[in-house]
Amino acid sequence: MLHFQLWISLIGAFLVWGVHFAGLYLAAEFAPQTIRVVAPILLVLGLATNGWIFKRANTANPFVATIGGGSAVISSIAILWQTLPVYV
Amino acid sequence: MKDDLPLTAEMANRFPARHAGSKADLAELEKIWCAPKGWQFFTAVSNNYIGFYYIATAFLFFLLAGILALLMRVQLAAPAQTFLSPDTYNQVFTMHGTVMMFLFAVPAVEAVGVMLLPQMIGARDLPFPRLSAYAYWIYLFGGLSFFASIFAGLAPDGGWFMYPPLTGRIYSPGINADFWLLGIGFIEISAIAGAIEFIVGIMRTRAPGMSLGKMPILAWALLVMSVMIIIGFPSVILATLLLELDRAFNWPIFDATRGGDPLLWQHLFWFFGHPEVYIIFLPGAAMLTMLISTVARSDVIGYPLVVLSILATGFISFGVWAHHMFTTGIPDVTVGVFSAVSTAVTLPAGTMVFCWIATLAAGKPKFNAPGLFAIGSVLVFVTGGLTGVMVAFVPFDWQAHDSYFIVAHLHYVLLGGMLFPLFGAFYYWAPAFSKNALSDRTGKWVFWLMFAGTHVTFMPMHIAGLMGMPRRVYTYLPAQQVETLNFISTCGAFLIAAGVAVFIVDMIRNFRFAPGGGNAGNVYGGGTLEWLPSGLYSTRSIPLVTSRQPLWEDLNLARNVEEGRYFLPRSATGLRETLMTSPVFATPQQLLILPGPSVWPITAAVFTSGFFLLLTIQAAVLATISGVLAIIAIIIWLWETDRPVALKAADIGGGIMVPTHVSGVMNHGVWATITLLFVFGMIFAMAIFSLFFLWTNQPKFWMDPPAFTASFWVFVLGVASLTLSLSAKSLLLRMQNANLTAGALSLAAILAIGAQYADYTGWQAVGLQPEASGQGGIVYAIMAHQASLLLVCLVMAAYAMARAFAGLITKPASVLIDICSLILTYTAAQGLAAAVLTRALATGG
Repeated sequence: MLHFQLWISLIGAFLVWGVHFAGLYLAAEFAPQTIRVVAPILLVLGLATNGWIFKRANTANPFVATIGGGSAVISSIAILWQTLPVYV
Repeated sequence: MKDDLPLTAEMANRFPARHAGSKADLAELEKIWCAPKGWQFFTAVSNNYIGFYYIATAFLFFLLAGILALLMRVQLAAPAQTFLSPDTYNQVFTMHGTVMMFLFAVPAVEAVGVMLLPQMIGARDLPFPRLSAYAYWIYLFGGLSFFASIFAGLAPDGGWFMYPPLTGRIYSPGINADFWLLGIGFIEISAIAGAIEFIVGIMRTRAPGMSLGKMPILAWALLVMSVMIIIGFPSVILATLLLELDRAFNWPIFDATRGGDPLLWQHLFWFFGHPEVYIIFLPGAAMLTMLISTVARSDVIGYPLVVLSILATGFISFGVWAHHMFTTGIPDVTVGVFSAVSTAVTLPAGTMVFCWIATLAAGKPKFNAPGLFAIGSVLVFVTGGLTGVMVAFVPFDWQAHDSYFIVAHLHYVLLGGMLFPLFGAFYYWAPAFSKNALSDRTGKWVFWLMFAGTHVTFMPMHIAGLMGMPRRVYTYLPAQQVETLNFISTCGAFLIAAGVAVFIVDMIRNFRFAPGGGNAGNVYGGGTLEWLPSGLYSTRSIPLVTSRQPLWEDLNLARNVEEGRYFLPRSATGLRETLMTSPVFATPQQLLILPGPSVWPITAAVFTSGFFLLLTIQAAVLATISGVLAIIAIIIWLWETDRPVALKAADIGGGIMVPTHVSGVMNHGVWATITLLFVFGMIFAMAIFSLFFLWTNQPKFWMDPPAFTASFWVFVLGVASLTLSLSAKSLLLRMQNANLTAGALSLAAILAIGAQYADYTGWQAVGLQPEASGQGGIVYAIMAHQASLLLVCLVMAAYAMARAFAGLITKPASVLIDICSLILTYTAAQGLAAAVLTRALATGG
């Protein structure tokens, strides 16, 4: 189980960021008119997934908890931050 | 021991063993691991030798590129000088950037990894020593040939990022650009080979007990760097291939007038180019972290946060590439998103800086040479990082773009993030490989000269840039009022050179390579495993690791390891061996038998280099012959190393028995193959991105694809090939017939070739030609990529057949069959995906 939690948290949160970024980039570059609809959907999905990862990473192993929780937090800040330019 | 669980307390308590290892066992280890003598030195594959060659060669390229920098600074010391002609200046700045980035920075960090990593993680060697040797020799031959082009006036002259249309056949008609495009091929192969080695080595050959949370920071950074290489380098591989096709065969992939787009190059290049900076920086930051920890005599404060920052930086670096393209007219929202992501890099970078400061504050730092380099690195890097935040903001970037401000910024980042840590690392780790430590007193001189030189050179460049001096100009006029600033920069460059010269004197006076032991030892009091007493076999026995600084925690560890009281105190098989352990907790799983010295890696490297160089001068027939000879050399090398072992299980110490051979997902060759397939997958993904990019940007040049119904044979043959290659393993398991299995794999390869041929004829039938449009260029480039994979499959299938007929395929499970099956399955799947996507992205454009 720890195995699963470790890999999910190590890679999962950053993949959330990557997928969010890729979605946002593709919409911005190739279909800018859809961006204001796509961005909030991606944001909600990303934050929800990161929340789940944060919860799963809360194990007794402090290394996994820090890496997992930290990844989810950094990923969430990053996707919030990269969504900002859509609205400003 | 197949499960990835921590070593049980009962097993851990067996170490250190009550009985010491015998002298006869030690003598056998020394005999097994002894290095080739005399002229046979080039057959050496051990990480001690290859790592040393690597570092020496990287340093040579650093010196050469540094001399080019001095030539540029002499030219710019005063206005309107004619020391270098404009053409020569173009070649010099292009070679300076290219050599520093491709032939020095990336190989240097990989070299440090090759040299240090096995000892640091408690392995006897890296898992693929011959691959390391091949990667090194190809780097040496390729690098020297590439650099020699400048003496013939044939060096590339389009800048280190080689933007088309400047580098296309119209504006760069000579072979200068081809030297860059094909020359970089060497480094790509070398870097990817190194990355595969590190990923498998770090994940599978750590000393028992060294769980991920106890890994040295440098191992973490090398792991992330390697993953970044296999994600980022494929993009530049594809880009160079496409531009070479553009130049050699007049394909219009980057020609906007024929349905291509030069901006596509920028996207592909910077998707690699910006992560490249972090590929260099992360190992530098990790060296810095280890240096700081030792000089402060304190474990790293916030170790998990530093690891997290390394991971976060690696990921986020792949979302910032377009900040190099803010002035190209990309959509506003895209610009905004990339600006935001670029500033987000400050999060992990800042976290790392605060962890370094906290570690220094928690300990009692010594201001010795490594200490000074560590602190100097932080100061220089933070200065570069701050200007990085400035240029991440679009309005400022529009003003500073392509000016000397950018030159100053990138040099601060690279010197602070990589060069200073590397010089600190030289002083810190030299005693592990030399009979004498380098002089600490001289090291301080080196530091102060380089530190002062850095600021004197690059600080004025910020001002020159803001005053409007563009980068890459061979001269300027007196009226521009940048004379004094440029003169100061030139003086600074010579200060840095003086620092490097003093370092060379120190090396000549003190460094005496001592790979077989007898080194100066742990001069600075490091706490990690590379400071254990060692010989060519690495450590006498492989320790059980219980903390991040095992030498600080257990003061008897070195003695017990040296007395052979831990794992593998003797060779169980009479061959070179190391322990394979589980990925998370590093629990012993297998005794890995390693290959010894061989002439084949260097032979393969000679012919691989010949292939690329002969292509550069358009000698296609000779290039083909050289390529075939390279393949033959690689096959012989594989044939030698792919050997059945009589002993099924071995005692690795403490009565713990592990197998000597495993197949399936636990095998290190399978891990390496999966990593390599990921590289192919990324090349394919970037090719599909290119198709998508041109599809959306150049719709009027788009033509309809062959109908899905007319592509019947593409899909039938493709699915048949996929099914057959997937079933190879179960065929061997159930039928236990090696000949049948190898035959099935060969048939799968032939079916995949049939599918590819059907795809090709389909596109020919609708009239799509590669030189007609960007779509044609990309579609045929995807087919060429698929064809090269099919060639690999064909060679692999023939190899499997030969092994089967020679009775050398083990039953019921064989690693060779696993690997062949994986490669064929991937190739068949990619062929199907390519057929679907090229058709899907050709409709409705």
